Amino acid sequence: MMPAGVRGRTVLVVDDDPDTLVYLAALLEDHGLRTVTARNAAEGLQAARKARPDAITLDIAMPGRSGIDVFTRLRSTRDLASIPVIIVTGAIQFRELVYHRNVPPPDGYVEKPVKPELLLMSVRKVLELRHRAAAPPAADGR
Amino acid sequence: MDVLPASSTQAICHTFFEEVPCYVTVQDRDWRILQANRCFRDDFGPPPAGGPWRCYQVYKHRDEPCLACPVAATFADGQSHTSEEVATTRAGEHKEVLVVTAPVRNDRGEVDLVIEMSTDITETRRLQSQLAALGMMVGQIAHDVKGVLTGLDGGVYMVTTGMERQDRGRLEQGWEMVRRNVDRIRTLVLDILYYAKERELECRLASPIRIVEDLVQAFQAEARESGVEVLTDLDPAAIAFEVDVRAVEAMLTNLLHNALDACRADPSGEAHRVRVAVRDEGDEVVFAIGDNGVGMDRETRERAFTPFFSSKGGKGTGLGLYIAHRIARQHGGTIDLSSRLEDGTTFTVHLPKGPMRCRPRP
Repeated sequence: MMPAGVRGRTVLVVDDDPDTLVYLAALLEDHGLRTVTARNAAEGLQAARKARPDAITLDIAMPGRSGIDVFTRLRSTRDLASIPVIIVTGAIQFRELVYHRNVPPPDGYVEKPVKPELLLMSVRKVLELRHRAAAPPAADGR
Repeated sequence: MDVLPASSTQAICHTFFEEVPCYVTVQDRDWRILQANRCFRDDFGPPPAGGPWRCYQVYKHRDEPCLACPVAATFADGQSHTSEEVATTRAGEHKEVLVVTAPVRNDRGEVDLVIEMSTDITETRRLQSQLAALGMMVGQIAHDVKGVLTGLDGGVYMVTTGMERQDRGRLEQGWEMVRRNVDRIRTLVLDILYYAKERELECRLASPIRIVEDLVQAFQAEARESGVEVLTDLDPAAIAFEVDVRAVEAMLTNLLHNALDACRADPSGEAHRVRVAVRDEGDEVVFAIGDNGVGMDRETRERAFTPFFSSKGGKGTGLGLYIAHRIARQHGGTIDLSSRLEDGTTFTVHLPKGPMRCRPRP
């Protein structure tokens, strides 16, 4: 289960494989998160705009517009740019492509087949960082 | 070593020139071929009646010299030069050749003539490209297997947590995921086997309608989950014919999954349908599988049946349509596609009913 500060946060899961989508969403929900799912690049961008998730897990190899394009688009859209993105892919050859874009790099990277503990740890980490960044500075009187 | 008489040396040189297994020509500064060996004459000869026989005309069917010419380079600097070229024989066959030139000097040391020796490396290049394709296939298969494993992991997770929570719905969903991904492994392995070795057809009398009904029944659940409707139009006149059922099932399964993937990839949000039709057209049985998914652009249409070409991001091995094409061809039939971007795609397979090169069943 996710810690209290993170529980109930929304994660957008983007993957064109329906089984992977069901799996990742179930895994995250079972650990106290909310999820929104998208089956392709266009749906992913639309859902990011609409749901304003706290984090996104993004598949890279999708038909049509690829996950790399979605990632670049997210990073270059002002009000979406700060949403943490975790790349989830089996296509290791694309890894370099993502990191060589002229935008800030992804916040996490998980390889397929997904090890649940790695995905959960990665999601938890980015959500905690975001939560901490969003929290008001501690009023310690100094 | 004994010294051979001059006449023997000349005979040896002549035989060597004639019989060496590569194209050898002797050329002057105007690329005129003054002498050519048997290998060259067989593939590029005989010389035209009348006008001169020029290198660029014979090898490249050009009207003017090539831009980068190793013969010209040798005339210019007196050195040997190499290059790789594609030559076209008189039969219209393309040959990849490795060209090496050598200067022939006169008594004053000037380059009078150039010998051009071209080795046919078409087969070497073909093997190289096959090896590269094999490497590419291994990479794509590894990636595909990772996807299937993730799906299987998901199924197992849903089954396990479904049992723990006594949640029958989740358990059933998980089991369906496991089943589907086992099917994906089966298809993947069969695809690889088909690619690796063209198996002999094993034909028997079978009803095309029955084949399609069985496949569609298995396919329905997967399509429904993706919100895709499957419609069939089965002409009762299409009665049983001699066919390799396993091969045709593999071909149609590939086409059905392609149609489903095309619907899934379509962001338009419209209601998606896959239509499967069987028709009797006299001497042929026709299968048509259409979808109203993303459709194909020109490049995808032109390369659809090429091995290792996939438009599914990293999700396809690029073997499905290649294998479908091969199966249709093995049956003496054809497969073609019509597609428009954003409109959808239809694959039409024509299989002859007549006797084929099928191995009788044991």
